[in-house]
Order: sequence, then structure tokens, then C-alpha cells
Amino acid sequence: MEKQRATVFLVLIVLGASLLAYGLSSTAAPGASSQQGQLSSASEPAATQEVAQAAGVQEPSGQVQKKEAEPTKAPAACPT
Amino acid sequence: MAIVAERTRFAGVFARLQPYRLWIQTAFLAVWLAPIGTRLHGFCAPVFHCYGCPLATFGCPIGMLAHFTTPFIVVGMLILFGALLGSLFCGWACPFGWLQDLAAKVPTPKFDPPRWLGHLRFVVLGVFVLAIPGLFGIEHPLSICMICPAGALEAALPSVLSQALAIEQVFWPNTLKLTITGIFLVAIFFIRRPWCRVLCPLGVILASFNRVSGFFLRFDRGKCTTCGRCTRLCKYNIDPEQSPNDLRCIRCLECTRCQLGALTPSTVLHRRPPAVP
Repeated sequence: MEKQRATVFLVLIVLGASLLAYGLSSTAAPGASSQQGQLSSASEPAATQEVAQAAGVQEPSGQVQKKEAEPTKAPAACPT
Repeated sequence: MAIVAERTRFAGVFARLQPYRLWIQTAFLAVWLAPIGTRLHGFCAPVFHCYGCPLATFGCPIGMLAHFTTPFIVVGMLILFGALLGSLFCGWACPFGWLQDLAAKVPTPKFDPPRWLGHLRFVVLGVFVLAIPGLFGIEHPLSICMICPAGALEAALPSVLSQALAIEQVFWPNTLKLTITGIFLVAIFFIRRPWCRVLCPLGVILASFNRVSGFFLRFDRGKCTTCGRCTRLCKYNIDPEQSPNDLRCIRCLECTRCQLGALTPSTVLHRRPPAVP
């Protein structure tokens, strides 16, 4: 039982760390460019930052659509 | 013997901290509420705290799960924290849990919801966090951010107040969100942690790791006298003797106050001591 727990624990740690590393190094919004209506950020943390600031939403296609003009500002009001 | 002594020291740390849990939760607010204006919304903390809050340091993992189709960072982070600590953050660090614990201090009659209601958390996670935002978009009126009471209290309320103080047009949250928040605000005085026990989608993700996490509760059957004290100590209607790493456990560690030492916090690094003949 103890060995099983330790094995599953190690597998999960490796899996979690791999996903985290992949997310940090990959792009969350493939094809996102600096065109109007799209977020300029390509990395997942940056895209997350902009979504967190109620600046955009990710569409089913994977592209993050920009909703506000200045996504770097902190949210002035509740996004909902 | 050295291993046993080390395990005892480890358990002793939590035994000393346990009476100050509410203070520790309060201290964690300094991390979540951006005390020096730090905004790291690109990363999530494993706690239920709306990123729309004017003082939020980190992004909300549930909000991020709802917003993104492939949130590798959030999923990776949830697996890491879950695998390391299970639901320990729920009991000791979550600001939304802290609010509910604070309300539970008010001396009102307390009721326990039926145990099966805990499974509703899976429904909330599957339907309102993943399915609806994934199929219909985050702006669907039933997606989690549109109905979340944490969002109403931490983001919408400051927003409404600032609009009112600035004598601007006030944008109220939608009726469903206000209703859920109203029910929540009443429930926290009569049920201990109603959100965490019945609806929290983050809690159910983290607690799903309780049975395999590196940090866990060890039950020593040899020391147990089946006095039932641990069951009485648990405020969340769990029987720690039967299920020390239960799916509904928030790891407040109240049950470890068993004076016989039958329930102790432990980790995968601490091996089970040999049974006393």
C-alpha cells in the first residue's frame, strides 16, 4: 500500500511537472498575432494574464480573441 | 527508531499549528491579496479566489479551466499541488474557506448536509466549469464565472461599490449570481463550509488526490481504541477512523487532536513504523 502510494505520487509529480513545463514553454493561442482583435501574447502565462484581466476569451479554435483595447491594465470592474 | 522519531516530530509541528489554523488562514490573505500590488495573473494559486478581485495576486484556476481549452499550466499546477498536499490548501490557505470558517464562528445552530450532496461538486466541475464554457463559451449565463459566489463577493461587490462611490452607473451581477450569493451568505451561518462541501469544483479536484498525495493522514489501528473522538472532532461529517483520506476531507487536521496518536499527518517519506507486538 505504501509502495503503491509512493509510485502513484511520483508518477503524478512527473506528469504535473511535465504539463507545467510544457505550458510555460508552449503557446496557448496558436496563430495568435498582433492583428486587431487578437491578443498579442503567444505564451500561455501571458495569455492567461490577459484573460484574467477580462481582456479576452479563448474561442474553440484555440485563438484568444481580444475584447478590450488595453489588456495590460488591471480590471477596473468585475468581468461578469 | 529514527524514522519513528522523525514522523513524530513532523506530526508534532502540525499539532502545534492546529489551534492557530484560522490565524494561518488569515496570514495567507497577505499572499492572495496582492499586498504590494503584485499581480501574477499568468499563474494560478490552488485556492478559490476570483481573479476579478481588485486585489487578487494570482489567477483563479477554475476561471482559467473555464476560459482555456488547453490550460497546460493550470492542469499541471493542480496535479502538482494535489499530488503533493491533496486538499491541505482548502483547510489552511483558501480565502473562500477562511470566510466560511469565520462565519461558522457565529454561534448559530449548525446543520450537516447529506453526505451524497458532496458528489454535486463533480457535477459543478463537469457541467459548469468544463462542459458549458467549452461548448457555449465563457459568456454563457450558466458558465461558472457567471454564477460563482466568490466572483460576486470578491469582484462584483468591490466593483459595484466603486461605481456607486464614484456616482457612476452601477452594473449589478446577473440575478442568478445574486441569488446564489444570497443563499451562500445565509448558508455559511448554518452549515460549516457549505460551498466547499457541496459545490466547490476546485476542492473536488484537490481532494481527489487525497488517497495518493505525498502528504496524507496515517491511521494506526494499533493505537485506536475506537473511542470515536476523531469522529466527534471532525466538523464535516466524516469518519476519519474509516476513511482518513476521504474525498470530502478539507484536511483541517482537527481529527489529529486524537490524544492517542492514532491519526497523524505523515508523508510518503515517512515509512509506517513496525507494529508493536
